[in-house]
Amino acid sequence: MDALFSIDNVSFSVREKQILSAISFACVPGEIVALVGNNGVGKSSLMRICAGIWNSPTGTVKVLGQDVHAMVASQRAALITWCPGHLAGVSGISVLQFLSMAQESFRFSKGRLSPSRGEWEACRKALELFDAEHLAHRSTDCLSSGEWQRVQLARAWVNSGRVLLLDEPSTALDLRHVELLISRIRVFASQNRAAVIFSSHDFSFVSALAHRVLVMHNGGIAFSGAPKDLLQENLAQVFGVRFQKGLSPQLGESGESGESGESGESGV
Amino acid sequence: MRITVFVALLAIAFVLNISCGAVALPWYSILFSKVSLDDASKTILEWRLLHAFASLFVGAGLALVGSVLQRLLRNPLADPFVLGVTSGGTLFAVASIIWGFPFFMWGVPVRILAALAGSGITIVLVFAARRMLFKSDDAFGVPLAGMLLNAFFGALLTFGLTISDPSRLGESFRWLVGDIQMLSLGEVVVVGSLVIVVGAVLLRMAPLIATLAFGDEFANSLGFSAKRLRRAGILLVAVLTAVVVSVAGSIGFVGLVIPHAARWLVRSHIAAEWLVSAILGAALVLVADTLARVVVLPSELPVGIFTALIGVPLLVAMAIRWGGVRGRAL
Repeated sequence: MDALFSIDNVSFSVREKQILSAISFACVPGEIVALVGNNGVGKSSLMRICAGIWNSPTGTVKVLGQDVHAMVASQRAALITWCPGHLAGVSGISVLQFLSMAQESFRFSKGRLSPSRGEWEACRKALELFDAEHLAHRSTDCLSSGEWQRVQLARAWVNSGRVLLLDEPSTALDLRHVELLISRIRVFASQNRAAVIFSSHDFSFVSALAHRVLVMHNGGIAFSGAPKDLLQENLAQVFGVRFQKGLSPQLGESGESGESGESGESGV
Repeated sequence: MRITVFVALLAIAFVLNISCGAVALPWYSILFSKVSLDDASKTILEWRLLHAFASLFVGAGLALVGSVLQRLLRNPLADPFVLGVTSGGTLFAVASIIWGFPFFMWGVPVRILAALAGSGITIVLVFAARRMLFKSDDAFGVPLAGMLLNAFFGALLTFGLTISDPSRLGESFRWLVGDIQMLSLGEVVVVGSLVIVVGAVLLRMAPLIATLAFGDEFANSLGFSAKRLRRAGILLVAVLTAVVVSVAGSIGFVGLVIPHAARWLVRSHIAAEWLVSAILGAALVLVADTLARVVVLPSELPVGIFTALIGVPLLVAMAIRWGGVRGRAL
């Protein structure tokens, strides 16, 4: 199958410190890819480069064979949706207005400035998908972190592009909504024949959802594969904790247990 | 509809403004009097109508400029007064007074053009300073740049006034404190149409500018150039500010207080927030202007005194009532 989305030889540095070096990978339509790695390894930077917001000085980012930086901005926005990890709510902007921004540039390119009735309806539908329709008229700075995350996800769903980039989409969600998110992402990927790339630190979420996991380490992709095929030794080396079968870390057993002297139980 | 409440408020302020003064012209006598008004009353009415319209446009313009700037710069302190734009305009206008230029020269309103030039230059300087001296996303960058310019222009002003002919101090003083200048019908029409046209464009742009509130990267990811969007917004704001300052000198607090009030009253849509801000700004200046006219009869005090006298307690009251001016992300 042809690649829907591909990045090739992407490097990036901030203040002369190299963050990403020569990263390449490609996704086919319908594929769900997870980015995992330690804090500061460059997951969010890679996301921004994939979204075409940051420019890699060396490499190329292509969607449907087209370089994202050669595209008209509104065309790029229609194809790629980026859901940033840290977005602050803004006072005086309601949830519905926030959602309507998803299609702002499309409207603008058509010379329209306010959403049509159908577009408002699409926004409401997207809120319903994430169990957030009751928040429609709330101000975006007056939501709990989980509610705000669902609203941001709904915004990404308003714009049904071909590439969906989600930066830590499940961090603030309760289990019920993580479950909901998993099914929504699966449907999104198969219905739109889209590539979904997400980053996460939640390995049960990753192994339940991802077709392929890219493990980032030292500015590159250390190794990759389906969640069940990842080797425990490799994972342990990258993350510094032991892993059971697949992607289940064994937490609380680093040897530095409490002062109560129960360390004898944590045998080999 | 809540917007009708605000419009009604504005209408009351407007009628009050026209009826009060050294000569009372009660609204019922204007509208329903069987005997037509005598010539003196007619002249006063005409004069007051012009003045009221000028106040209305000044107030609406100032509040709208404050609202838009606060959103564009993501800074609750952004307002033409704080940014030093009004003092830049005032400096140029006062300079033209000190150097003895008449209000009109060869049919050109020199003072208004001077104020236009002054505020235009200042707004460019503020943004240059913000970019060069401070990190552009820094919350303190803009107010600091404004403070620098305010201090610098203030010193220049004091210097100019100290060495100038004392007979011109009185005229300069009204500009310094902020006052609605006496405008002819033509000038009111020009100012009014500029405020309305630029204001309408800004209101239409509100949904685009709203995307900037979530950060430049977010706006870029939606397919906008945040930089170009901000530049367009700032250009429009600069024009509007310059027009307002050229008419009213350095009127403070309208552009700072009213946008906060509007943000507390309208919590859903930026365009609605801006519209309410413009309406309330107009009402505040009309009320301040009325007070300026009736407090010490028959003299008329500069309106800038009263926008500050009303604005400061209003801001404090709002802060107490709604729990803090700061603390809300823009």
